[in-house]
Amino acid sequence: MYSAPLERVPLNLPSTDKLTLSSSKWILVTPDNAEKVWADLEKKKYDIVIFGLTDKGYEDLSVNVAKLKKLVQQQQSVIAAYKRYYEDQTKAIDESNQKTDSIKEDAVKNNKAEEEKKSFFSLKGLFK
Amino acid sequence: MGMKLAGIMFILMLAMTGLGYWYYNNTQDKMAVLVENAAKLEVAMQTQKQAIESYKADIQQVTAEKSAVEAEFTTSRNAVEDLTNKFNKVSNLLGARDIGKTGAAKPNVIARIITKGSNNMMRCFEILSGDPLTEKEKNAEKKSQINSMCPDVANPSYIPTP
Repeated sequence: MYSAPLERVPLNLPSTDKLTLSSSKWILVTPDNAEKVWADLEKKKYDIVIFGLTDKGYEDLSVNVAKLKKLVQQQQSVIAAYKRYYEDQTKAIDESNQKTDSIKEDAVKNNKAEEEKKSFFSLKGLFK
Repeated sequence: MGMKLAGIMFILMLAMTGLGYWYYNNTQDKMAVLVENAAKLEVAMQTQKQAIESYKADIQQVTAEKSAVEAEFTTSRNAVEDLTNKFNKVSNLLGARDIGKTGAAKPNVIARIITKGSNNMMRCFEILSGDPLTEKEKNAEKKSQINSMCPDVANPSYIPTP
């Protein structure tokens, strides 16, 4: 019985796009500095508006972003582990196939040698 | 009579020789089949042994990968916990840390700190997306030089002190 090992087609995926993020500047507005903040905005030709968060809102936003980073890191860890496992598996399968082929070749050689030895001593061999 | 007997004996001898020849070859063929079967079994046994060894190695690798991923998960979870603790830090000397009160007292200082923190966090995402580290990031060893949002990602030379 003969079996042909299946070759795994390598999955060559493109890399994800690299992020280039813009930096942002936080402004804290208090009753004491509110006038100065408005004046600064006006001076720098920005629209006179502030998109605000309370201190609790800021804390929540920070923790949420940290959680997103955690998710990205965890997913990267999982992908890296799959990649390592997949690559090592492919290598192990190749090695295993090579060993099996070598075992089969040895067995065929041994069989041939046995056949030759047997035909030398057999009566049939005398007439061959 | 003697000739007849000799003829019968001769035919009998021929028959016995033929039978012997057939018996010998028949057993040789059977032995050949048995030898071949034994060789096939040997091959099957060795292949199975190899497969079992391969499975054992796979299990070891799966266990190692699982442990590595779990360790990395713990690191990323700790980062979130550290940030939460930063907001809720209680010091014996200064009491509970309140970013709202500190912000109201020192808006410019806090604005600078949180702007730096936000930009550091954005840089963490850039690095995680595959952007290479700068020399400054690579060589950062002191706490004042590191990206405090993700030193494990951004500053490979930094060894945190417990």
